[in-house]
Amino acid sequence: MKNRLPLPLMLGLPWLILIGMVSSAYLPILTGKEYLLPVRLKDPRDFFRGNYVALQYSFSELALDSIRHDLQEGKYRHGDVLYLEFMEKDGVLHPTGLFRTKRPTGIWLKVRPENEFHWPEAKSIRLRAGLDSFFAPPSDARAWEDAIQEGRVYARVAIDRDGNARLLGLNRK
Amino acid sequence: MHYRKLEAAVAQWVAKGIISHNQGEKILALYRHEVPVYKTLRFWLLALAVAFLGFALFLVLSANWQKFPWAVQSAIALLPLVVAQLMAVHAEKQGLRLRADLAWFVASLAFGLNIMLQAQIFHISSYYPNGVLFWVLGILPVLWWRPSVPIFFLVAVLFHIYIFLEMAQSQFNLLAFLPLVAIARTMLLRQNLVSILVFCITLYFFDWMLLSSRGAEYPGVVWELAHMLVALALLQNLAGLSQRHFTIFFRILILAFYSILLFLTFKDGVGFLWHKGKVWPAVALATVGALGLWPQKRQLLKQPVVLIFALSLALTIVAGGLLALFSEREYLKTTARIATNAIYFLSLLALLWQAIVQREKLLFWGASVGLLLWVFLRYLDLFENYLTTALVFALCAAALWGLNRLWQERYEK
Repeated sequence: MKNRLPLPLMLGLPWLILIGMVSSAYLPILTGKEYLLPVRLKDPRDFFRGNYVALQYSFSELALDSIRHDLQEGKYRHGDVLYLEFMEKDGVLHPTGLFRTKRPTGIWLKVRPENEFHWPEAKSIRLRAGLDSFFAPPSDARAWEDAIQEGRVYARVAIDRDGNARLLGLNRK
Repeated sequence: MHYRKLEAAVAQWVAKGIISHNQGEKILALYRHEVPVYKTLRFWLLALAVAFLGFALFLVLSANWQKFPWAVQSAIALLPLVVAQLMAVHAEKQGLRLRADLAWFVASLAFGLNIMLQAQIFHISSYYPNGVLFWVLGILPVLWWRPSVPIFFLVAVLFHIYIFLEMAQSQFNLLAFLPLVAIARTMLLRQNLVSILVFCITLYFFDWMLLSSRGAEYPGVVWELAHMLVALALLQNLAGLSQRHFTIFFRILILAFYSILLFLTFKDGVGFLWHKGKVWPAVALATVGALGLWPQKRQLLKQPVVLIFALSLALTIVAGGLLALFSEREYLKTTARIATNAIYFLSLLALLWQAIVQREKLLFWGASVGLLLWVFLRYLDLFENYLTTALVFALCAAALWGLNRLWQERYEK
């Protein structure tokens, strides 16, 4: 080699990023607890990762008068972290509150408002938790679409103590 | 320098006896090492083959292998990354640049494949654009130390995908500055038309991403004009840029500017100069462009066409700034429309004069067509009423007549 190349950096940085990515993806599964969330489905394609089932949760569009919350008057944008509190009933989670700070006890999930949301003008809020895509082979993805016609489908998720969550799979119930 | 042309010229000089064969060989030896590998057809064919392979790998990944355990899926996807990295290191040690550049390109694609596979396995939501940013960041060292053209394009394309994903969410990540810096550095190293175009487009969308992440609304065409001024400042400050590439880029800029300016001369068009968002980011950017042009003021005085363009651009931006500043005054819109028409007409008149002075046929016809187009469009879309428009046309005709007289007195007597 004529010039001295920083080979450890050129070779190692991709590996460090991969290790970091896998670790952070696995952490909620390792340290969290498993729950079920009711979902609605549709089936698009991602050009890098193939077919996925886009999941809609009961909190994806949440009526604010149906839960407790401490939102202050003003603008909330995607990127602002909010905390969604759940109540567990028959092994399934149901949203009960939305707060600006972490909850001391209970089950709660880190969520972000989708696009811009003005309180108190808006009566409902659209939330995302990073649990919105379930990747599956095309035939499986279509089968999940059909499943919704037959009955209720639940997302099996792991949620850790910091409110980070990872989607583990889908269950028919 | 174009090595193949030099080679042909040296062969001719030897054949005509101007120089000896040995002297010819010595001249060629001086420049032989300057032929970059990416200028060979073979390199491009192989790079194309690698791109095809990359698409094939992503389709295999898209088929989804969830029936295999995580470790097996990961091991299969890591294999091309490991092989490509080993090949790259081996080729570097052997001093085989072409093979090394291709291997780094394969490794960069294979790295992206692994990122996307892990995102697929862990169902990481397609909502977050971080995966594409991680991909770009992971291959930045390769762009930095081995800035081959395929890697440059891969980084640019991926970075744009990331920017569009972030803009859709009105988000911004501080790490996004790193790819911008790497693209800027590669542009400064190369200083050719393509790399400057790629950098300017990237900067435009990057600034857009910054703006939308702060919840700012589109400020109007003044935003695009400010970026044009920055692009012009960049163009003027690149010492290594060839005259040919400068001319092509400048023609693209001038054509884009006058098309926009013509649109702004319409009754409804002028409203787009400043839309309704905050105007200060555009003004700040234009100030950066103006400051970048300032050290080149002596050079600019020797390039009257560039100077006319720069002044017209700056004046239009000032008109946009004033429109935003005094937006509550209704009459200002009319004033701004008069200003855009005046800038359009007077600057094209000045360009026409320069075309005659410099005997630039293309500039002459460009400016003439621009003026004719303006008069035709104003004939359809009047100033206020028939008589005002007729008066303006008469004044314009007088200005052209005056120009002709001036020409006769100065140059033909």
